[in-house]
Amino acid sequence: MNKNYSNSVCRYLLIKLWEDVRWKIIFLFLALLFFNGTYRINQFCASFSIAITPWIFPHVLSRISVHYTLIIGFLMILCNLPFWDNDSTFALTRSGHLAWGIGVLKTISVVSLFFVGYIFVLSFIFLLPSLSFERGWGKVLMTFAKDNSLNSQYSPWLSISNAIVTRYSPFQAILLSLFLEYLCLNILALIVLLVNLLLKGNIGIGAGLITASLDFFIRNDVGDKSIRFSPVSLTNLSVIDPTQTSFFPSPLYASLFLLCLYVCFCSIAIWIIAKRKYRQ
Amino acid sequence: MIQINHLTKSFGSAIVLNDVSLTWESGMIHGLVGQNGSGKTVLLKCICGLMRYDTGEILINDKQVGKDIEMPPDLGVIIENPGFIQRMTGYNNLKILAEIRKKISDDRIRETMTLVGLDWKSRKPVSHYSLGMKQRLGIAQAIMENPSLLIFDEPFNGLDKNGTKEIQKLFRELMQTGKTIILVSHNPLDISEMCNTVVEIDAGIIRKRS
Repeated sequence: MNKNYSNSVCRYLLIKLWEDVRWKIIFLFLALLFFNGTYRINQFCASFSIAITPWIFPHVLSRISVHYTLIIGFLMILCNLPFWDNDSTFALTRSGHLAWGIGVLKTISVVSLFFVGYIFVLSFIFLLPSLSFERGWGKVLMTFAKDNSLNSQYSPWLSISNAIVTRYSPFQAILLSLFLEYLCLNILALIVLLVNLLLKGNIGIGAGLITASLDFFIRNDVGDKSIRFSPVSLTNLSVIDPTQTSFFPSPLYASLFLLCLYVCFCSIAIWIIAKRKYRQ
Repeated sequence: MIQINHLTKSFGSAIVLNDVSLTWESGMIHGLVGQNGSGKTVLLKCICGLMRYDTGEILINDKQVGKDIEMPPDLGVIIENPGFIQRMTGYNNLKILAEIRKKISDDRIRETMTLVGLDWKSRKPVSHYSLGMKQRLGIAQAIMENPSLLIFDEPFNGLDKNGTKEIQKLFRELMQTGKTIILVSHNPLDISEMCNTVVEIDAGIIRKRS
């Protein structure tokens, strides 16, 4: 079978996912979550007649409960990886397993990109009535970051991180968090894929969620070096230190670690499929 | 030619295929009958390369499935229920499947749908199709790329008497153009009259050949 069929497989799987009602429900739920989480910030801006900048995204990832909810939604969309159900027989017999596997990896990349993009848009779309663009973090985010009581009153759901606004410019923070979150989602989906390939039943989502929940344990003990091995923790810019003056990992370390993990998991997945080592 | 030699497949301690040996000549219609759970579908999945087998070999034109070839390269298949994207039209379903290999034109898809008795212009989604229409669409996807080997698991499911006759006629015509067709059914009456050979499988063992 031809490996070049992988693009067609990716297209086929994306069409199938698009037609699936699951992602629509999840995306709607996430939109409601963000609406509910940001309307008080809008109220704050309206009552003081000040505008807010759209640089919320890095802060979304620094709040563990919010981030975990997003990950649950993402993994639910891809929980039946590698999509080898009876419905796929017609396509699978045309492509072959290897092209299918490569197509699945491409599908994961596209879905992750789409998901990160969606969360990025959600992070500011409901703030449109109070939004203004400027290069810095802006008055509102800086005030929230510095004043814990204000933060908990108007933004209990989101929590604007002081560590992020002091260590990064908005441009740096957005780019870095988009990149790290994209890699993290890819890695979690690959964990789901690998577990589903090797073990019976679609239990990969459980493994993905356990990996994501490492973040809970690590945050309870911030001094723990294990933060360096948790993919979800490494997307949180409040525990990544570009100045290298603390024990926190650097942005370079986080990027390289996630990139290596991604390449490693992709290679293992291809090897399992090519050598037909998967469970049936 | 399909040659199956001493094929064995088990799931845990349950032996599903037990030393199955068969030879199916090219350009003929071959029948495989057996009760539910007799191992028919597993045998088909092994032939298609969708499932690994434990021991033995499956040779298709002297190439071993799972060793020399991952799957038969020139294959059209329906195994179990026809799986389509329910909210898309029949035509669009065939189109996205055809785009995987990009071997055929849109005209060929339309022609095949007409051949199996479906209206390619219909905007009806597959979810609104009857079981018989889904079966016809499944047959259309199997034959549209003109493969030399066709495998149909319970192809007459959901078809009425006339529908069954039409599809039987279509299978005979396909055989006359040199295709090898394997028909599988739990009911021998469905397929025996149109098959050149019929094999009965029971509890993973070949019982009868005719």
